[in-house]
This record gives sequence, structure tokens and C-alpha cells, in this order.
Amino acid sequence: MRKSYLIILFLVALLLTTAYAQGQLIFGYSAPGLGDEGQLNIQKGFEIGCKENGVKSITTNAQLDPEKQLRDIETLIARGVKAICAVPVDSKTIGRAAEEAMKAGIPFFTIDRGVLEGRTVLTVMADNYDAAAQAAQHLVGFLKGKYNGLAKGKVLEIMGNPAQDVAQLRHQGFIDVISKYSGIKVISKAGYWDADKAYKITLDVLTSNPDIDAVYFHADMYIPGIVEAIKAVKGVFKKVGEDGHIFILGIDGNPMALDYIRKGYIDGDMVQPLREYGKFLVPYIKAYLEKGEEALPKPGIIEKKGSHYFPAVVEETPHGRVVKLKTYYVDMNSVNDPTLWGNIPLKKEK
Amino acid sequence: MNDEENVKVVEMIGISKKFGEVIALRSVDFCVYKNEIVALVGDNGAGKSTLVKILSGVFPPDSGKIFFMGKEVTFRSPRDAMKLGIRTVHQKMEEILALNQTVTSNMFMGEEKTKKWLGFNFLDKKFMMRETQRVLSEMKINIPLPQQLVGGLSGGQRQALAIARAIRQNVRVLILDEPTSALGVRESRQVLKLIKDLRDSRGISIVIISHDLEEVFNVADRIVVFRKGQKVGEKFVSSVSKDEIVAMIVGADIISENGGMDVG
Amino acid sequence: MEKEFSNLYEAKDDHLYRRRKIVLLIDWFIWIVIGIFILLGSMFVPGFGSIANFRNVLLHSSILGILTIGETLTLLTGNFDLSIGSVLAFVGVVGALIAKVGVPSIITIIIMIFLGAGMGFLNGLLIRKVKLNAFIATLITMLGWRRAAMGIVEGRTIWNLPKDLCFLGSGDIGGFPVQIIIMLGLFVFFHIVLTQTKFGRHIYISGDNQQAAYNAGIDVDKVVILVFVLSGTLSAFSGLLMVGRLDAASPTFGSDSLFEAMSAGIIGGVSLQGGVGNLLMALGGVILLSVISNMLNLYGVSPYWATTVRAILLLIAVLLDLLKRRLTRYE
Repeated sequence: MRKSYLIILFLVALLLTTAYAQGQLIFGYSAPGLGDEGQLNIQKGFEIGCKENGVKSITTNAQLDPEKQLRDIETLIARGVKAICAVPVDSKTIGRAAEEAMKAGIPFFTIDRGVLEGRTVLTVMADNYDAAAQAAQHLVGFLKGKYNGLAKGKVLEIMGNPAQDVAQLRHQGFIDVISKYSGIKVISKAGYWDADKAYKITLDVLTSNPDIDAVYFHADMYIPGIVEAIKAVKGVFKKVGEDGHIFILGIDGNPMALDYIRKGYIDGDMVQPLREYGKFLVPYIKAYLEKGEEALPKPGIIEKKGSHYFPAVVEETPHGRVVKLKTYYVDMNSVNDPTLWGNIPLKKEK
Repeated sequence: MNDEENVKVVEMIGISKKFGEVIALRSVDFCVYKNEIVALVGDNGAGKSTLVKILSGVFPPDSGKIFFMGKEVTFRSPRDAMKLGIRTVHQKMEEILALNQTVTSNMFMGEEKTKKWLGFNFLDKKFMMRETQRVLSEMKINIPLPQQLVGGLSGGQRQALAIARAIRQNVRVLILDEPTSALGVRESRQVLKLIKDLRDSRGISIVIISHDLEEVFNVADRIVVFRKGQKVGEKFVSSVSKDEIVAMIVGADIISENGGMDVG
Repeated sequence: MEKEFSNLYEAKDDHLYRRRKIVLLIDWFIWIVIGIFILLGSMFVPGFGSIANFRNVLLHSSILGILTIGETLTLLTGNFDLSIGSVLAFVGVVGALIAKVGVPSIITIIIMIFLGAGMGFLNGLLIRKVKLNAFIATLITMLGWRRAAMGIVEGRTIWNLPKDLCFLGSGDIGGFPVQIIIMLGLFVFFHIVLTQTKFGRHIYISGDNQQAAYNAGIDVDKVVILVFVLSGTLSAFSGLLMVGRLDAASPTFGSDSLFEAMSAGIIGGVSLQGGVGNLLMALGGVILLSVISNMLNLYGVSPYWATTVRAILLLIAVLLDLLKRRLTRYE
């Protein structure tokens, strides 16, 4: 046992000295778990951002365990990285890690999810509330189109894990828009980010409510379950534009979702700037290390021409400064846009 | 015993066995005659359990030879010994009966009878049920339901079932390790009666390990005494007294006043 | 002498029969609970009582049911298999990748089944030959296979698979879903194996008392390893069905299925200590969990209650198992 510790120490030391010898900056990245496509793309985006800026990155994987993420971050601190960026497994417990990093004089950043305790220097995330609200607007448009201008109908909402703020925002933004229309009824069910649960929910709700007009989903992983369940209940699947089609739209923008749009199975998807986060954040980290606070984006609006994810909103919160990038609605007409990350294979980006 | 019965079913010559540094058996000769009950007595750790475990194939001896009906044999597993008809009923019932299974299931454990149906082997449950009932009633064992779970049987019933299972088929030598140690007086008597019946009606040779000399003198024809891994005596019950046996067990020349019935 | 015997036990016999009746009631407890749930559901949950919804309950049961067969077999031998969900995911992902390359579906299916069998064989070897505890052995494979699946596809979902590969998971024969037919067929088949064959009986005996089984000449190693091979094969089969059902494969598939399958078996009355239980009881557990999850989808109860209800059912099941053991003991 002791021997293996020594070996690890030796390797870490070796790593540090070589990096220092080259005079290269090292940033630490603490992933919450690299199991799903979204997290993988966020991590790759950070890696690419580092590479573009001549920075070395070390990635740890918390495997969805908040406790392990704390230890991961302690390891990164011990390794002497110059900055740490994390995607929190738990927005509360991450506060302690942020504190420890700050104490060690290492600036702490988060991506995709904010912190609810402690402070970060800067957080970059998608505006989930806005994405849900946009999705709701598009859906209202579909329903009006179906019912000759009347906003009415029945919608099934398949949520993520209702305990997480992402799911709460994607629910609230949607409901806040829909509730303006008294004719639209929403049935909300929690799918816990599980494709098979989405299948079962769609199956059951569609059987007892054959008049469902639309399905709104919190994550792309639900799409196959929704589509196959509709096939199982209705016998056939009516594609976009066909009579009897059930509107399907949601949030994420994975390659799979784009393909389902292309083939006419689902109507649209709010694309998150998953690979954009890191590319956007890394230059700010670098500048912050050189110039401090003043290098950070000021509260207000950031414009960037030619990008779907701007204008972004910058806010000062009790837990640090937050940049909220816009999400972007994709449908049959825009699905072949070559700038969409879902259309760029990871291998090519490398 | 007349000459015709004076056939050695099993003969073990020069058996030695060591467990690490402990010598369990030191060049022991032992034989079992046809149609007799031979009792192995001795203090704990004297070597009698080791000897029967070697005889039943649980582990091989370090040295020595085993002859069965005059032919040399080697046992690689209890299965080999079983094939020749050497069967053991262990002292610990919890190591031979499955308590949550039925009486029938235990009776045929490992030897389930099957019949072919559509080219597949299926359990012949009817046959096994009938056979269980037959064996139990033949041996006058009272177990009301063959489909009853063994966990619901009393100690005596379990012991009887274990013996019934061992002698159900093809048995030449039956080894009983402390068959009555866990039983009450009444149940012990029933089991001993059962053992004698087996010798008389079936012509089986029985090797019995016991601590209870009263019981040994009641049931055995011959007594073999072990001490510290060696065979120290071999006597016919008719020609020896309890006091002499006790003396051999403890290795003393002086015999205590009341003889000491229970050497345990 | 004969008289003596009967005197001793006659008084107990009456008692014995009464106990047997209670035990029989406990054995069928799960189906009584299902009856109650269905009754209450039909009365209070709108949309529950229809034939179409009953079909949905069976659809919920199909994959869970097949996994539960494998889990029950391992539970009966006194072990358990934590790796079923990971085997499902790994086999699903590998199968989908193979199918995507253009390999004929029938060959893909055969590869998937053999892969699952091999993964089960590895579990069996680790437990019986390397002598690892079943918990440790299958925990290792559980983590290992899931990670491997994630590594192979880097978290990506594979979608748009050949139609004939998906037939088993989403097709139907005369309007009746194939996955339900397969699940019920496997239950019947393995019920016969357990109750009518030598192998089935050896599973029970090995699980009830390993030492006794060994002393009686039963090859416990062979029985347990074979059971794990079956569990792996059935998990692979579930993977095949899930891939077909969703027309997609993801390394996150089946993350919950271990907990569900184990709960189903135990709620049905299969003992964690081995040797007690049967597949009809386990099927009861599967149907009950499916009825509950179906009801929750139809009724606006907070999904957190599902887990609480399941926990209560588990507690009741374990207590009943204890009671049954006490009732069948001689005391």
C-alpha cells in the first residue's frame, strides 16, 4: 500500500517538474461524471479551449459522487494547478471545495451549473430558464397552428431529476410561459434522466390521455423512449407535418436529436452551447491570472457576432459572477447548420 | 462370528495423516468385517474422525493402503467412496440436510431420479415420493408427510432421515459419526434400535464413532480404541469390560472405582 | 416401537398442518397484494382499469421480468448478481455498434447472447474458482462493464438501428408485443427448469445448504457457475430487448435495473439467504413493481413516494420471510 503511494507521489512530482520546466500553465478540470454525452462535450470543449490557449489541463472524474469531487479538487490543489474549473455534482457541497481552492490561492470557476454555497470567480452556464421559455413559445406556436389560432391542448412534460436546479429551471421557464394560456394543460412527470423511464411515462400517459398534443422533454436522452412509446401506443408514428403528429421538442442539441429532427420525428430542440463553455471561459481564466478582477466580463450584455449563443447575460450574484449563454432553437430548417456542435464530430474538433 | 462372515469388507493398512505439524494418525491398521457393528472410541483428537474421513474419501492419507473386498482402492472424493457403497452420516446434521427443502428432496439429494419425456430428463417426482414413503415405513420411521420441510422435523426424525438416505441404495459400509450426540434419551434409543435392525435385516457393516460407552456396549460387536493417533486396542464386546476400555482410552493402568461411563 | 414413534409426534401433526396453511398464505402473499393494488387502482386511478393499460403494465414488466429471472436464480443459490444492469448496458452498446457496421442482425443477436453468457461465466469463475465473495466479484464486474461501455462510446448514444434487430424489443405478433411473449415464455421455461429438473433441484439445495450439497456429491461449483452464466445470458437478452424497445443504445441503460430486479425478487418472497422462493413469486414482485410505477405515471403522486412504497414492501417481505422460517422450524 505504502509503496503505491510513493509511486503516485513520484509520478505527480515528475508531472509537476516537467510542466514547470516547460513553463506551461496547468488548469484542473473536475468533471461530475463523464458518462453522458452532454458532460463529455463540456469536458472536450474545455480541453479544446485550453489547447487553443496553450494551457495544459488535468481532468478528474467524480463519478456523480459529491464526496469524491471534493477529494478530486483537493488532489488538483495538491498538484499545484493554477486554476480549477468544475461542473458541480452538487451545487451546495461544491461550496467547500471552492473555499479550499480560494484558501490555497487558486481561483475557482464552474461550468454548466452554478454554486449555491461559497463563491466562484466566474460561472458559465446556459440560460436554462430562458431555454425552457423559448421552447414553450415555440410549442404555443405549434398548438395555435393546429387549432386555428387557438392556444389550447394537452402537453406531457418529461422532467429530469426534480431535485436538481437544471430540471427546476427547465420546468419553471416552461410553465411560466404556458400558464399564460389557460387552454393548455400540462402533465409533468419526472424521468430522472433515464431513457427507459421516459418510454414508460409516455406509454402510460398516452394510453390514459389519447388526446395528448405535444411532448416537451428536459433532455435529449429521452427522445428514443418518447418516439418508440408513441409507436407502441398508436401503432404508427406520424412524422412532422403528417396528420395526427404529436409535437415533440425539448432541450440539449445532441447529434442524435439533430438526426431525429432531420428525419422528421421530432419538431425542434433548444441547443445548449456545450462545447462553447470551455472555449469561452479559458481566455477569461488566463486573463484573470494576469490582471485580476478587471479582466472578468462586467455585468450587462456581451455581444458576439455570428454566434448563436449570444447576446449573453452577465450577472453579479452573491455566489460570484455568472455568464448565461443563450440557447438556440433548431428545427427542420436550421438543422443542417454546420456550426452546430452536434454537427461537428468530436474527432474533427481535436 | 462364523467363518463365512469373517470376510474383511474394508482393510486399511499403515494409514498415517498429518495436518501441518500435528500428527493425526500414526500408521494405523483397521478393518471392517462383513455384517458387524464396529465402534471407534477414544478421546477427542485421538484420530477416529480422521480415520473415517479417509475411509469416506473426504481427504487422502499421507501414506498407507486401503483395500475394499480385497482390492486396493484410492478415493479422490467422497463420490468415489460412495460408488463402492461406503456411506457416511456426519455428526453434524446441519452439514448433510437442507432444512428448507422437503423430506423427499433430502432423501434423494444428489441422486435425484429422472425420467425421459420428449427427449428431456425430468424429475420423477412420483417415484421419489413413493420410494421415500416406502423407505421410511420399512425402517419404521415416523415422518408424516414426504413433502414436509426438513426444518420442521425433530432431531431424532432428522437423524433417522439421514440414516435412511444413506442406506437407501447400494450400501456396504455405513459410517455413523456420533449418531446420538444431539438426541434425547428416548430418541437415542430409537436410533440405536434402527442401527441394530440394519445389521440384522440388511447385512450392512456399520462403523460407529461414539463417546458413550453405555451405547457402545449396547450396540457394537467389536470395539477399536484410539489414543493420540494410534490404535491402542481392539476387543470383542463379549470379551472385554467397560473399565478395560476406559483404561485404554485414558492410557492408565489403574481403573477408577465407578468405571466412568462417559468419556467425553 | 412403532407405537412409541406415533405417540411422540401425533400431537404435533395437527399443529403442523395449521402452520403449513399459514406458510402457504405467505407464499402467495404477493399475489394478494397485487389483487388489492389492482382493485384500488381500478377504483381510484383514472385510466388504470383499461385493457390497453394492462398491456402497458406488462410492457413495464418485460425487461424487469427477464432480469429478475436471472437475479432470482442467483438468489436461490445463496448469491446475488450486482452486475445485471451493467451487462445489459455493455451488451446493448456492443450489439448496437456491431449492428451499425452492417453485420446481419441474427449474427449480432448471437454475439450479444454469447457475450452475456461469457460475462456471467466470468462472475461464476470469480466467485467459485477465485473464491471471491459474490458481493465483491459482481461489484467489480458491475463497475467494470459500465465503465467499459462508457469508454467504448464515450458517453454517446447510438441510434437508428436495423429494424430486424429491434423486432424482439418493439415488434408485435398479431398485435401482441413480442417482448411480453418472450418474458412470459422465459418465466414458464425457467419455472419448469427449477421445479422439474435435477439442475433446478440442485440450485435449491446448493443455496439452502452448500455443505450438505457438496457432501451429497452435488457439484456446487458447476451449479453456481451455470446459474451465473444464465444470469448473464438473461441480462444480455434484456439488453437486446431494451435496445430494440428504444431503437437506441446508451451506456447509461439499466442504471436502476439492479435495484428493481432485486427488489422484485425479494418482495416476491425469494430469500436473500438462498434456497427459498420460486419464480411465480418473483413474477408477482415484478408485476407489483410495474403496477406501482404505472399507477404513479397515471396519478399525480410525487415520484419520491415510489421509492418509499418500495422500501415498505421490502421490509414487509423480509419480515414475512423471517416469520415463514420460524413457522417451518421444529421448536
